Amino acid sequence: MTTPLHLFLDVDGGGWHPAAWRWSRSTPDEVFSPGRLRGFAVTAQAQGLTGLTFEDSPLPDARNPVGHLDAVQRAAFLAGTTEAVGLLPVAATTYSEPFHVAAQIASLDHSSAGRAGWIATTSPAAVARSVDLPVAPDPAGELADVVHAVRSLWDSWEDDAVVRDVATGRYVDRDRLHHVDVDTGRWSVKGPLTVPRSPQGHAVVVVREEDLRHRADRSTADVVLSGDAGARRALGGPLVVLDVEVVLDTDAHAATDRLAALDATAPAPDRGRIRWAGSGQALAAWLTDLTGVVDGVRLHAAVLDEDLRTLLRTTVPALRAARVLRPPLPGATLRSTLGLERPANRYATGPALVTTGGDPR
Amino acid sequence: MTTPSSGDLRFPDAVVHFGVFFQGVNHSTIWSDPRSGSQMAHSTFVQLVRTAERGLFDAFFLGEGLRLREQRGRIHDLDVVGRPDALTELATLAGLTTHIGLVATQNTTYNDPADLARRLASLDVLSGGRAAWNVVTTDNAWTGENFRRGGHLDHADRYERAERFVRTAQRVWDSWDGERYTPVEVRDGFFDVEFTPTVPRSPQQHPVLFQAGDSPAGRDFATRTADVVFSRHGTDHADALAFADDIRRRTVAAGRPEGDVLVLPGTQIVVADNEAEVEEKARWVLEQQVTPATALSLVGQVWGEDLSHLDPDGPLPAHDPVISVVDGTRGAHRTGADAVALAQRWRAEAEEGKFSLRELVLHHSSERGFAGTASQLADDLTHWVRTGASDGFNITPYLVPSGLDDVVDQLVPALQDRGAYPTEYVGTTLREHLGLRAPLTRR
Repeated sequence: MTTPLHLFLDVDGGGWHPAAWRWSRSTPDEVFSPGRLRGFAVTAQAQGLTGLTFEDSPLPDARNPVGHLDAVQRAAFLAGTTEAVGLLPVAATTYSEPFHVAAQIASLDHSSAGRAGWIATTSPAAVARSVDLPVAPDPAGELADVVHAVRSLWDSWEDDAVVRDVATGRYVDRDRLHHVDVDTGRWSVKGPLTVPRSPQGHAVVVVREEDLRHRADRSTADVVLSGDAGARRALGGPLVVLDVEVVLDTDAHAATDRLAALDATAPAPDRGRIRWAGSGQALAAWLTDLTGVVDGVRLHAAVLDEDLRTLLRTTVPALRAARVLRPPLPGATLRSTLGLERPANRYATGPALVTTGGDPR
Repeated sequence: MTTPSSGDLRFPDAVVHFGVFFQGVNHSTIWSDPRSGSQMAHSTFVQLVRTAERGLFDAFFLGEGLRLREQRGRIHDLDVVGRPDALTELATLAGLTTHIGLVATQNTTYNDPADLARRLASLDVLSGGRAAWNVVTTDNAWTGENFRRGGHLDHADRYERAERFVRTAQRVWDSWDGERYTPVEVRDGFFDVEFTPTVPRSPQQHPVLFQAGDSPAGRDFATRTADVVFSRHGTDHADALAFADDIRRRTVAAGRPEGDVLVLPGTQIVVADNEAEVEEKARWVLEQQVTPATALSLVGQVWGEDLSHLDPDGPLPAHDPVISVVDGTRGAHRTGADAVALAQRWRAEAEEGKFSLRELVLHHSSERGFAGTASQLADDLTHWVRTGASDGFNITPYLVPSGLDDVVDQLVPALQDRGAYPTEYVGTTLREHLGLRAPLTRR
């Protein structure tokens, strides 16, 4: 049995290329259309993708000049109408309230029956002005602290805290609810969370490699997004998902011609990701070679409306035929699809939670 | 049962608007009944919202609490507790519904306007113009311990901040003209923000604004800024009419047309099959809500001590409370009351009515809404809206998730028979369902 390659697709705006929205000929209303978003999700799930990611920024960005809807809201919108695909929104840590982030992602995990991930990112200093906060001196340190606080809040309810004991009239066992008392000196959180522990215990925490304070920060990330195919050896602990920007041949145009035309409209910035141009079959062959090298690949389509068609007609069927993809099962959690343990609860007081071996972080 | 004369009917063509208020944390949800489902399961929310949409409800309404309730340092363990983040859950429900409005209670003290306005606008776009924001404030340091800004506002400032917060949000929503975004810069002593928004406008332009404050400052805030007041005056007709008249007066004083702010009180509705069952069913609901343990807990809040060892069928404590003021930081609805005076009043009432401790609490809890047959209730609610006591009701179901079934299957058709309830959704946005005009800043 080959190691599966987990395939993720980002579905933000018109595509990764800053000229995408012109080429997709979508009006702003169409780019933001809920129906378009649902179409991506239904297709990705039917094709056996492991997850959809939702990039985000509260600030205008060149890649997506028409704007963004909030990523957590987009992911949640799809939670009730999908059954297998993972939903992984960005929620930034630098200027957020950790309590709100913990509640939002835990709620997504509840409503998706355990398919939530969280791409925890740092924010640029310009965001500080929009939320009226001082510029953070150490965003990577802030990220590690926020992830720690959020994971603590996710544990602040033990799994069996709701007892509904009619005899004593107790709805919850208060001894299984915990104040987390996190204090970083810059902010503090008391707890418990207002949301009970979610199906996965912790949503899958994803961090970009450049946002990690230390390359092998085991306690922060379950999955690291990297632009470097050699990152897995260096990182050791977390799963490594390679970030790849693709431009594919379409029926009418070769990938290299499309990229040149897109660049002529608006030059694409270097985001430290691998950029790959070619046919859908060649992409499938390259991805097949990556099994065992990385745990997964996240694809960013240059123009979603165009590249996704090639991807789904050519690349994904080839990967499935080669048994490189192992589609998530309906009802499976994102953790179980990725082979990750359900974390034990740091506050557990009662009978030990059942774990199935391995090395829970 | 009230039998209105036609002269009372100031609004003879008015129809009843219904919302469902999924309260989440309270002792009105009877969790001990075998029919009671999970308070967190996604299926619970789906069943309730679909029932409400089948019943042509205007809105599905989620509450918010940002710290679990405690008494004397211990987490309150008798009531339903734990709920999803309102905006996140509503975004999921937006994907599963087509018409019903989605109202998120969101706090202005522990959010940032740029961020919250963006998330509300995102829900509004994803739902096709069905989002609403129930604007609430909190000023206690106890809740603030969960947030980086803590609890630093006194009562007067929190409404000032709330109003400036809403104005900033409105500027965010107004910044997209279909082609470009206008940068938003606010420096008003409360906020010092500067950014360019990134979210377009929805079919209803802005999320609908609900406001729930009941103090004079809260009422003025509502009539200056909100579209709907969510009140607690949903039981007694005279009390509700006085409140609604006050809101109309303040609305006019704020320079708006009299009917510009709708009044939708929260209430409970118990539907029984026949008159003989009405009282019995209402009593059953009440006794399930106020269990012996809950009665002891409620009295213990006033006395400031753990009274769980007392006999709920015995008398109130003979001694005075050990506190002078009912604790102001734990979410109890008697917060801030003079504990000794309240205890003395309760003891006098108990003596006069020959009430046990629990009977006194039941007596105080008995007026939380309507009970009747579908036909009686339809007459009564029609009378309410046509006399101007309210524009409709936000119903808190006492059972979850099946608690709306009899309202939708029995009461709604009875109201429709009287011409006092819509027979179809006339539009697709919440603003259209409620008959609201354009947002205040877009007129």
